[in-house]
Amino acid sequence: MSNQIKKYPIIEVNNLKTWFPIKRGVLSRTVGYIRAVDIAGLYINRGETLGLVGESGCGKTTFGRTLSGLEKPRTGEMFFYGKNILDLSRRELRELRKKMQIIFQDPLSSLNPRMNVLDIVTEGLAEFGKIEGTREDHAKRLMNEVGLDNDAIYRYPHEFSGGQRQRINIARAIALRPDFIICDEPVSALDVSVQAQVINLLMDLRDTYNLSYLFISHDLSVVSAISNRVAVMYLGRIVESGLTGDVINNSKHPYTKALINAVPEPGHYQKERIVLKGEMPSPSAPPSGCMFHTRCPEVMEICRKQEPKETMSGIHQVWCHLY
Amino acid sequence: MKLLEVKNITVKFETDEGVFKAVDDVSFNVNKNEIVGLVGESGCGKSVTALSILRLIPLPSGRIEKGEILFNGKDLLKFDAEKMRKIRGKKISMIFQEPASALSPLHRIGQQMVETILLHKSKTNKEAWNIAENWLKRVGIPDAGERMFAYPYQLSGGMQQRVMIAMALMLEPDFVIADEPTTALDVTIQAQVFELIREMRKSHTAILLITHDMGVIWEMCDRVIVMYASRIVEEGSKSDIFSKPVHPYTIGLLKSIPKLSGNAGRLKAIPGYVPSPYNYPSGCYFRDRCPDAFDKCKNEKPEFVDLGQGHRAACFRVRKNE
Repeated sequence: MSNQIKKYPIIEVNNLKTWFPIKRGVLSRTVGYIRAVDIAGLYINRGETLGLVGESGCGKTTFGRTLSGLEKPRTGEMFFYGKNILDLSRRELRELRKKMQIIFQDPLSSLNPRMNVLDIVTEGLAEFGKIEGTREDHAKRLMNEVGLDNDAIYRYPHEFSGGQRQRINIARAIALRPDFIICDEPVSALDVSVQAQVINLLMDLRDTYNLSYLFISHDLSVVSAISNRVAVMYLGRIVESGLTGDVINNSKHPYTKALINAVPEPGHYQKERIVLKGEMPSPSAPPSGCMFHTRCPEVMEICRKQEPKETMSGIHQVWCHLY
Repeated sequence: MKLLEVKNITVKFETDEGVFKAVDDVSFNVNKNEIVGLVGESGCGKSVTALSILRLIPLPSGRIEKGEILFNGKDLLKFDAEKMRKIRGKKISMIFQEPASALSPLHRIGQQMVETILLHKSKTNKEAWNIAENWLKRVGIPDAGERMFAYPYQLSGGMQQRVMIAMALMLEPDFVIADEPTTALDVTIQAQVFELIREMRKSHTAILLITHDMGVIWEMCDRVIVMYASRIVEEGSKSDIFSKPVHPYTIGLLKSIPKLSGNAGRLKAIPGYVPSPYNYPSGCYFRDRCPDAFDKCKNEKPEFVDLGQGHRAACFRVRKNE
């Protein structure tokens, strides 16, 4: 794991806000915003996996979708190899699609049920004129890479199990030899015994092709297994980020601590349990000051009034008034 | 003391694609005041086992082909519909995985709770309302009085699951089946629900906790039953299963779980996939994925080997310690 400090960023994000308007009435006036994503700064180096972890509704998926161009941010900058994606023309964006791919959570709904695997995995290649040899040959090579049989290419998505479907999704994602893949909960829908296989496959491909991943998951154990660095998200903001080992073993933010404490780990007795009270507030009416103050066990007066600034030790960053 | 004895239950489903066994000759007990975990992957038959205890197997495609389900010594499978209805909710209740689809979307929380109470107990409307409201308070719902008037969609997933738990407990049943009660919830909310389930046990309720998550089993259960492809493969106390598992599936499953740590490295995955229920292999159903499989596994179904103190496993490689 060579390059965790910001050295060769493939992705860099500054002051990114993805807000969805709430419209009411006959004239559908905008009466407010759902502040799904509000990220001050984040980067991913070449060959690095950044794990993005948080609970449902924290904005992690919206961030992934924004990065891939599926959602439009309200403001902000997103650099891919130093170029602001938001400034690109349609043609430049099309070129960029080759380099950036996405793997979705639900392996079935993300595959067209009326296309066979051959068409699914080579569609992008055909579009960009990148097929080497015959279409069949190229598809078979991709099957080999993701550990599926050659004749899988003549079958349809419904004929496969969940784990195999996710392998097809991965084959499609790597077909154009991208540099960066957004993995949005890629193993959450899979059985435990199959999860590990798919995580291993993603790790192998990363090492073979020097891929960078944004690995989005609600499952801290899964994230810690594959990520070099981890960012913890709460209510649209990043509250802590750093090397996986630092964030897990030396977590600073009370939310990260509670999140880690809540993960039941077989064979591991917990000394004391932190049970957070209440639930995540609505992103349409975020609390004042620190986003987490409504549930924080260590809340102070200042947390209600003022937004915490970033504190850094090395590349371990935390947004909390305690530090 | 045995509260529930499931004896040799076999459940079959008939579908357009053919007949398959969802549960194959499954036997286990649940004692009073005990939390038993039933763990396995999707399609292994754990939920169907639970549904068959309550006789909620969808008709006409599914049927319990053989076996007995003794509850306090009486066979539930011999009860008529009327008698069974008196058991459900009152003696045995169930917490479902998705509270949003288990609660009626058209009725207020209070109405749904009061209806259940009135069905089983001779109370006045007012009394039932008070019981329901008290239970909402007990499961930690803020402003319980107001929430009684809320529709399920107005509550978050965690709150809906609390309502489900309150409904399951308010008639003070002897036995609660919780089918993946926290799977749809976030970890911090899951931790809150765990606290509630621990509270539940203080009132001497026995619990069958169904989950795919070994972490949840570790956290909550006294005894563990591991299912794979319609059969039980291993059963034992929590410490047996976690510190000296013997069935290759249990061992593989435990090893494949990613540890919460900073060392990124390859995981120890179980190769292959769960076989299709229409197409189970002969002999041991795990043999295709098993690192220790040999000829015998292909030809014969492994019987249970008793390892003492309630630890048993269905595998030819397992030997009794003498």
